[in-house]
Amino acid sequence: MLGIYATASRPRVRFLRNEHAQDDFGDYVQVSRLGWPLVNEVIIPLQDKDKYNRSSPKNDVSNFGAYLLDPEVPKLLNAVLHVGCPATPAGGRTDIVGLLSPNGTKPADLLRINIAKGQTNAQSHFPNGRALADDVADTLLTVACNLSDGKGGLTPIGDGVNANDKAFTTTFPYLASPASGNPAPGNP
Amino acid sequence: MTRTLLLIAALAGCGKTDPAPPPAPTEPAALVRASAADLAHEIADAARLGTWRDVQHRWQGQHVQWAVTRQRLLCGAADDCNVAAFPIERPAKQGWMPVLEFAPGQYDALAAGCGDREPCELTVAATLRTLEVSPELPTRVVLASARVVAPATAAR
Repeated sequence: MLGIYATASRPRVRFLRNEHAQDDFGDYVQVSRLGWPLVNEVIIPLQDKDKYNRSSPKNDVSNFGAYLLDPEVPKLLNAVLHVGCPATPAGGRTDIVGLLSPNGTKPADLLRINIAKGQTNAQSHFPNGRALADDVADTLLTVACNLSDGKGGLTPIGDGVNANDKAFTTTFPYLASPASGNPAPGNP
Repeated sequence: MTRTLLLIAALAGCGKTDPAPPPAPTEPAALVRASAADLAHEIADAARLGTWRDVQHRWQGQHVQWAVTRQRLLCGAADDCNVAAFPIERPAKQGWMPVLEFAPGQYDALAAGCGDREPCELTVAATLRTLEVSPELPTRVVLASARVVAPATAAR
């Protein structure tokens, strides 16, 4: 079982200058991390999102375990969209903890893939690895809401975004450049 | 030369002045009756008031007796055990789950006491050995020399 996560760090001190862009000083400080998609967005409440970004997966249970057992997003889905997600069960969301600790590993926000089974790319989809086209937002919203479909499964909950607006590329990193966010003419 | 001698004399005079006695160290009040919810309230206050060091000084090293909830998934071995310090089905306001470091034989006592109950509520007495609190990093609590107290009686 492999587990990976990525971090982004920036220099501790940055001076903005008139004469040139900037001067950076000090050690690099972690300001963001990502393992599973959307853990910070779906499970960690607003007041602790920055602290989550500063921390390490090895301490996820000690630091944020109570949020894993009682995530915030089902309450938000109910309050804002009246989705009808059930209340947190008395024992907490051990199903979410289980997804973050496959094969008896320690629960942590890591993107895991079981390489013992020799999966090919076509067989590996989130949460066992993550293929580019996996609709992870829909998967996580469905899991977080935990609304039964009455047939032993879960009612799909989605964000309404079911296709890319730009095609994947054929070379690494296989993703199109992100949209600018600035609608000025000439920006991609 | 005269100025130099005057300066030396002045410095020597300063050296003879008795320094003010340091303030007596204040011992944090005993918190054996305080619950994890009390700590959570103080952490929430620290987020507003910046009193992080006060909270750490007051709580770290204290003996506490807390009602906690054990989930087998999160407490599967004596050296790998976290427990919920609050009722789980409340809206979670803080994410920390204390690490339990057991006194000899006490993990077995927990396992025997909980049996097949899942979740299992119980009371532990321990020393709050580590309390990491800050405005930038998440809260982490380590309860050392933890002993299982039965039945569960501590306030939550």
